[in-house]
Amino acid sequence: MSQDDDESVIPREVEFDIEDETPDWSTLSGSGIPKRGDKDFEPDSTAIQSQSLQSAREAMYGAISGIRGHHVKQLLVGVWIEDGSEYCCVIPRIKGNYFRDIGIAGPNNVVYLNELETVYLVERGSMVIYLANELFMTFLKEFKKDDEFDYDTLYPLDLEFLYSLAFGHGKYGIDEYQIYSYLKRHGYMVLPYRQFTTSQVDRYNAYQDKINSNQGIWSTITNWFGWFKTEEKFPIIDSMHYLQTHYFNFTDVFQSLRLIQSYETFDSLKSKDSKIDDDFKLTFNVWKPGNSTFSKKNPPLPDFQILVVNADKNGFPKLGDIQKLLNGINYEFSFEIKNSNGVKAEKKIRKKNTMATSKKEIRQAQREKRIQSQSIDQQTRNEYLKTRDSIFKNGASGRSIILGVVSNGIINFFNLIEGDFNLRGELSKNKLEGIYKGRNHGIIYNGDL
Amino acid sequence: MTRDPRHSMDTSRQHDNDMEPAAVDKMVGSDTASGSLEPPIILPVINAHQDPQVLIFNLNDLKQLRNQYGILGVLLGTLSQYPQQNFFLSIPLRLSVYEVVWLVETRRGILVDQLKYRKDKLLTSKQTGKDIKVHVRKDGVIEENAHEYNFITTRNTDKEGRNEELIHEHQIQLQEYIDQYIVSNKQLSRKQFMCNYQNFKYFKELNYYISPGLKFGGDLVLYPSDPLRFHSHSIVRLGSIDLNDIIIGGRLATGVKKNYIVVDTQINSNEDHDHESIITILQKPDTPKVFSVEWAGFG
Repeated sequence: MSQDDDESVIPREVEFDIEDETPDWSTLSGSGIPKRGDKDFEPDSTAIQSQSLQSAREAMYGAISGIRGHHVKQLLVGVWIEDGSEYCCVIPRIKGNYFRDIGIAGPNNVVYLNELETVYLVERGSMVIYLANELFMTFLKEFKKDDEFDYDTLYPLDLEFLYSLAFGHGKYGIDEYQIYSYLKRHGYMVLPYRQFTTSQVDRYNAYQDKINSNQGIWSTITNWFGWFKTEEKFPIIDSMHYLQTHYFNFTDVFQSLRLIQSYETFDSLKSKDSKIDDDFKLTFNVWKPGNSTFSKKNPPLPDFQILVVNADKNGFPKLGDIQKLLNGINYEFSFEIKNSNGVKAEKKIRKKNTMATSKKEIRQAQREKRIQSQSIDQQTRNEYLKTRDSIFKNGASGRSIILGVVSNGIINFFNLIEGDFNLRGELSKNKLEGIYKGRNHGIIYNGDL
Repeated sequence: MTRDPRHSMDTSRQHDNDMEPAAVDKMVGSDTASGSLEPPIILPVINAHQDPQVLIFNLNDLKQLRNQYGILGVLLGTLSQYPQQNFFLSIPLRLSVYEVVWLVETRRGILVDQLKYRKDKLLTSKQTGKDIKVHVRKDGVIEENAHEYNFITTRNTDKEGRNEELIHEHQIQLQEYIDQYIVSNKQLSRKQFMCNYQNFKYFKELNYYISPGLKFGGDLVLYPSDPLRFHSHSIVRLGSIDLNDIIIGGRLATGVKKNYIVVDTQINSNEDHDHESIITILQKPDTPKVFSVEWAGFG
């Protein structure tokens, strides 16, 4: 690679992510959508600069001094209770549409919230919260639907007191709350992490056992024969091999050089030790805002499974930790999905979108047009390369965890996926065989395509 | 939405907010904190005994921190007027551990175990549920204690003011806070923490405004003045690095029009001397060594 290639990947005009900057609050417009303000290079002690700084500060202070609350028509009241249970706040009467993913139903239509949900609702002004007293606890014990309580007699919690109570005992920290509220503000549905599929290790090994027993003795014998014509042709025994053998194409050369066994997807499931380090326990199950099949009681597989880590306190998870994490997520193996229409159904939903054609869709249409102008051979080749690249990058299993990294209040997300460079596992093979049957997919040599 | 009633109620420190920014910059980092007339700001410690975090809820304290002391922190609360975006956030303000230590060390703030303080304060409180009901008039003015109310609100903090006696009772000493922070932080040694803090303090006292550096893969980001109006010039990396880090950091920093600063301090304290007070270490600082790196692509 020449140096020019190297430098061409650096964008000439640096594109800033607006969220990376300190916002200019004077651009806080009616929609709350930020605009890129113009900032100065350095202070020059001019009056004009100090004036603009002052007005920027005033804009900020003005915005954050806004009232936090809601109209009495939408009145939503929660009461902080500390009864040692998993939940800390009770809502005798729910109102509004916040409860699709928030809270858990108790007897007589009351709803219980955990610390994160409570702070989130109060902080956005959608709920007020009082501190329970004995009178209220008695009321709650004998509560029947439509019973009323005079909340004026209770102490109203302010945000400071609420945070002290909610995050003062170590169950959830501020880091978890920041990730939670960040996702909630973007409309995601978030529940505390829970494993609702059974152990991947058990299911995978049960499946493997079943296959092996089905194949019976005949396949064992053919496997033995297969060993002689296996892909690993490196001549361990015969040191004269390269003097005697002639190769006529690169694929065979590469194949004969292949020495090291690489990791195949799911290899880590074969060992049954699945104890997870306390430092790395998944924190949230997250669903996309548009997930129409979501329900609190009976959730579908999460779209994302998030682990919150503090950049100052936790190091990067070790390989063993990552494998255990991936083995511990909610996941459905491809052999378990009964109707293989899952992918097709998803595509159909996307096409139903009635929004005006976006730039993305226009680009997509252009791409399809371009593809159709190519020859069939070209199309197949490109599809093969694309699929293979995607398996390198995203793996074949679709298993992934998101790391939500927090450091002193700053948040970053990244995605950990098991890439597959081996290409000979069942999953990758199935995908690639569909395009070029019988090719040795594990050899990354494109000359023969 | 409109002005917050709290804002106009607590007038005790109102005048501070109107200070000229130029004057503000002069005050930042001046070492005359002990001569300052301001009572130290309460730094509420959440979860004091496991994972101490300082969050500021009082708007006037937030203003004082920014305007007078150049302490930025990070806002993390939902802005209730615009609750579905993550760009403009609101109270509380989360302070980094270095900001906290600097404020306490220079006597600008005191640490208070907020849960205990508030629970004790509750015993004498006269606040009732009526206090959070307000009337918002059509022109946006907010009336408290009106006969009729149409809004129900949650305050940032209580309106009953400071109780100096209880503050004193629940005050957390700096040493205790740092010790607990280090205990909760498996990766950090005491010595490393003290070095990092000395480095932070070095830039703080050069009047830089400092933000956490995670966004740019460093430890700190330096601004020449308030980042509301000024772009950052530098990404800072604290402590030792190798050549790889220099290339990675220098290249990234150049890409976002900044320079990359590497800084470290030698602290002459023995790790074994655990009984040596942190406060004594703080008082015998050495000048940090600072290097600035820019990625130079010849060609």
